[in-house]
Amino acid sequence: MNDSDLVNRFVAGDVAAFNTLVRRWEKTIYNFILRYLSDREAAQEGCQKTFIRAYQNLHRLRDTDRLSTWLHQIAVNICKDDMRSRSRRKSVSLDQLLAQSDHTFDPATHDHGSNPEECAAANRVNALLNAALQEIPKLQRAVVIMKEYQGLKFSEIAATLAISENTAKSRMYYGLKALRKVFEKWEIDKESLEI
Amino acid sequence: MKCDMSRASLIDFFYGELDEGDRSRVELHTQACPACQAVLQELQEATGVLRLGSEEAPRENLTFVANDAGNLGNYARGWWGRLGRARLLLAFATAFAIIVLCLSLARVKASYDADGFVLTFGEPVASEESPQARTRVSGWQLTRSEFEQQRRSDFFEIQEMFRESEARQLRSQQIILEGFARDLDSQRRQDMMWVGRGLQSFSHTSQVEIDRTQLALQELMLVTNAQGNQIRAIQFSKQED
Repeated sequence: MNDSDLVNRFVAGDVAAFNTLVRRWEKTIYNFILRYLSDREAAQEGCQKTFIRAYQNLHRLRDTDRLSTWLHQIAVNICKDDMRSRSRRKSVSLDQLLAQSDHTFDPATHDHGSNPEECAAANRVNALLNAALQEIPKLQRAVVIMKEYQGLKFSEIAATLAISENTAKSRMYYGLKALRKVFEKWEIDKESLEI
Repeated sequence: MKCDMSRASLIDFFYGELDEGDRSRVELHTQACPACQAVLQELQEATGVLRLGSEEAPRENLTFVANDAGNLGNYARGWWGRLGRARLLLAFATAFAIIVLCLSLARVKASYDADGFVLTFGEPVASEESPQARTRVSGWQLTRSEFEQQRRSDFFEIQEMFRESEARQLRSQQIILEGFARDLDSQRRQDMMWVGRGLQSFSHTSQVEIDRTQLALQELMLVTNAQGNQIRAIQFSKQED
């Protein structure tokens, strides 16, 4: 059953359909917010808020085929709210982030099988990449995450962020250039990070 | 980038979002363009590192939302559905408000007397003005038409007062202007007279002075001649001595 059918069933009163939608999309939305904010607690909370808002407003979604775009729109708004609410965001060094990623390692949350070493390494890479994403402007960051990790087309990204497709492509271009500079500065490349 | 290829086209090419024709065109261009090749290399390097990242699963299960089936049903029905039995009351209240509004707009008057229940629509007829319709203005009992007539006459009276006031102001301004003109004329005449006198006095004074000067010169000549004669007489007498 596709997303559109599930939305229609939920609007018709089938409450279990929403549960299916949550299970299908929670990981995607959680990872989007995690990469945008680079904070697990905030990502967990943001993911919950996204689905609560979706749960309250799903009956207003006219084009049910656009569920992915709609959920990402909500997630982006929640990320913006979160960033606004943190008037004094804590400045955390890269070393602290990596140390935290080791400390908070949980094999159950990773897709790298049951090998603890691989999981720990993946955790460190993710923490490093999320930290690098924080170094680029948030407008470019949203586009890079949506394209590279969420696999959205530029037309979908443009619709989600209410911008033109060309603007989305331009932000992608400058975002990737900025990221490459960050990687150069931190002296990391594909070979040095591969597990 | 020092060539004509747009960033958007390069990005589309990089992510395989171009159609076949455009893809071939951009591919041919990039094979011959070192600048575009460098850009694609940069994009490749950045995405190569980014794609090493993996997804994490949230630690907490969000299905708690779906367990609250009753609330979900309400939310699924929307705000009207969530009202429940209050919907009936709200509908009656809305209908009543609409009816009252329509009746007030139509100026409906309902009465019950010996003829039974009577509904009257529209404005009341002016000739059937009842004593209750009389308006009390400044202690006088007036009908609406009398009141209107009084207002009109007051209006005309005020207009007349304004006209009179304007005429008075014009008259007083005219008097002031005439006086001013008279003053100017008399001043001008007086000035002319003084100038005339001045000129006359100047010419008279000059003639007298000339005559006086001529007399003085004549006396001076006489004195000088007399002295000359005396000097010559003295010189002659000395020569004889």
